[in-house]
Amino acid sequence: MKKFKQRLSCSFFFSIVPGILWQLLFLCLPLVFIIGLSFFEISDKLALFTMDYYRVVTNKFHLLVILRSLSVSFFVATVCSLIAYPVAYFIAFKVSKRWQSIGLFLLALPFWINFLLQVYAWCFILERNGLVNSFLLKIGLISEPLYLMNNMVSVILVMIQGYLPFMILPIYSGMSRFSKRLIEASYDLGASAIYTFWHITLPLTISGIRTGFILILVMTFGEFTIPTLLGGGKKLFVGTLISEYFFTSRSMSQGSAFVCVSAMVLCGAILVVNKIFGLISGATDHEN
Amino acid sequence: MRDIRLVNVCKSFGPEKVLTNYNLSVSAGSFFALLGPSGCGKTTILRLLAGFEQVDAGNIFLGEQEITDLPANERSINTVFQNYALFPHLNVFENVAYSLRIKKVAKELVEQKVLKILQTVHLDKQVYKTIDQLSGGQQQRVALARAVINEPDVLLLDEPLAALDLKLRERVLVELIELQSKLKTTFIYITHDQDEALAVADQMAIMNHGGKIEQIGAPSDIYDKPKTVFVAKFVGNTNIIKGVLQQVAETELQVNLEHIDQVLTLKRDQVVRDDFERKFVFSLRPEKIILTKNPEQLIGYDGMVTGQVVSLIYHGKSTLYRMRIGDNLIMTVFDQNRSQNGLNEAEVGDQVYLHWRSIDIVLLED
Repeated sequence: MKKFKQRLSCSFFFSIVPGILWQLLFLCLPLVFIIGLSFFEISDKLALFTMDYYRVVTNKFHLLVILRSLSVSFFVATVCSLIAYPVAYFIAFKVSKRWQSIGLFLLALPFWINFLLQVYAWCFILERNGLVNSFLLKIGLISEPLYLMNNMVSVILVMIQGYLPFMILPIYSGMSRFSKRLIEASYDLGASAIYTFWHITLPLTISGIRTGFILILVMTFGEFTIPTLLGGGKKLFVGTLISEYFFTSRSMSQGSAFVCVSAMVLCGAILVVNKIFGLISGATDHEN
Repeated sequence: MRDIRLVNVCKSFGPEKVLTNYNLSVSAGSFFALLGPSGCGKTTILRLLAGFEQVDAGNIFLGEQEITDLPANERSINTVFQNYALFPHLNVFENVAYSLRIKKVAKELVEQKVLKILQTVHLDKQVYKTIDQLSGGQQQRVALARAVINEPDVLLLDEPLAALDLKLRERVLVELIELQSKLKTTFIYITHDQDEALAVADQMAIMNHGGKIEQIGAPSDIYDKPKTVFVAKFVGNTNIIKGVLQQVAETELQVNLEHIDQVLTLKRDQVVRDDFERKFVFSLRPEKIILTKNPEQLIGYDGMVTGQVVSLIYHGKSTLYRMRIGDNLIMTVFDQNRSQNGLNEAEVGDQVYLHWRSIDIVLLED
């Protein structure tokens, strides 16, 4: 028995160590490196401690970029949850088992195509002589092509399309664990469909929205592809500005400081979101 | 209090006809058990009564009110679900208060009512616990309290003891009976367990596959006077004995029981059908038979046959024997171990004598 335990802990040890090493090497180390870089001015042979970079990246311009990215992320996550909830509800409760798996398959289908290609596809749709404009010209609704690309609207639109599955899937997975018996029990006790939704279904499936919301917040906050290809480059986002620092102007230290500041803002945003969702589900729990 | 009636109810799921022209009436204030094997349609009846399913044809009445098309949330019928279906995000108090909250009952009254009903089901120490902090038995009682707090006309219980262990079941059974006699609500208790049904019910219906009701009556009637082979076999153990018509007189007929050498006299009005079939089926309960080692004469016991012990199962308080009678009949005999030197030392292969009273032999419809 003892031997068995030893062997078990041995195999346990070997099964987790590679993962930990991997994380240390490729996540923690670069992170430490970036944090370090943000505090030091590096000349030929010297590294001088300085807070100057942080002074720069917390100025009005940088904060505006962060604020812009953050509000776009919040907007995208909110719209995604509003679209995704009914879709997930439909798949989880209103269709047969067969159509459930077909629905999930269709949801996962966009992941088969490279994300960059998906965004390019949007360019073909939205550009000056793209699909939408040629169609509208043809049916005579407009006489001049519309400017559909290179603005905030196109960025948001494409982000919603690209990240919607990340909202639907966690909500669906929460709903598939939710027992329909509870809905029946609620009706049985005299509740209307609307009362049941607000007091039983929503509180018990809201954790999926929370997961999806945070997922989308994190992924869109640093999004680089979409603002670059569809944003027109006039308005900077967090992702585009970071790339600017690291690849164009090559001011690594300042870029690192900016990364640190925006990461902290993101952490704060996640905490706030968590708190809000906690309050919502708490409020629906103990209403009256 | 109102009685509940199903009239000519039909229900099918796709091609499968679960209920055809189903009729059932449960009088107000009774503890009614609906007993049947799984898949016989008893759960469908419960779901129709609760309003979770709609009938294809037929009517459901609660007293004089027709509730066939009334949605579940407007029926004065509440359900205790098989796995309780308690709301996991609400604590015990809020689960029980749920229906009162919907009705917007005043806060003080809610508190008063909830605490009172929780006291009735012995949960006054668990009021503010969450559902996952409770044991199975406690969860069951929360489900019960939640369902009766609104004082419904009818309470439906769907296999409420299925998830509990044996010792707990007996206690909950007693509590259920006490609660029902206190509340005077009509209880409709759905189960496949005949012991539970016999224990709780004052009226019961035995259902066969295809939603056919085989017999309705008091538990003792069902057990002692089963009408059909299905009922006799489903409720308790029994020995099925075949008989052949021997003689027909003006008011009586004589039937020869196969393998046990007895001629039974039946009154003509006992036989339902007029064209007397030549073959009859009878039931003799294992515990109505007395065993002796010698061919004694027991007063009142007019039937006797020799048998050989094939196997025996010792239960402590009793022993279950399987006996071979002649070449083609195996009978089960249930013998109380009243004294230490009873028959329980009979071994496999021993010859013993079986005694019974012919009034305990019940004629069945095939």
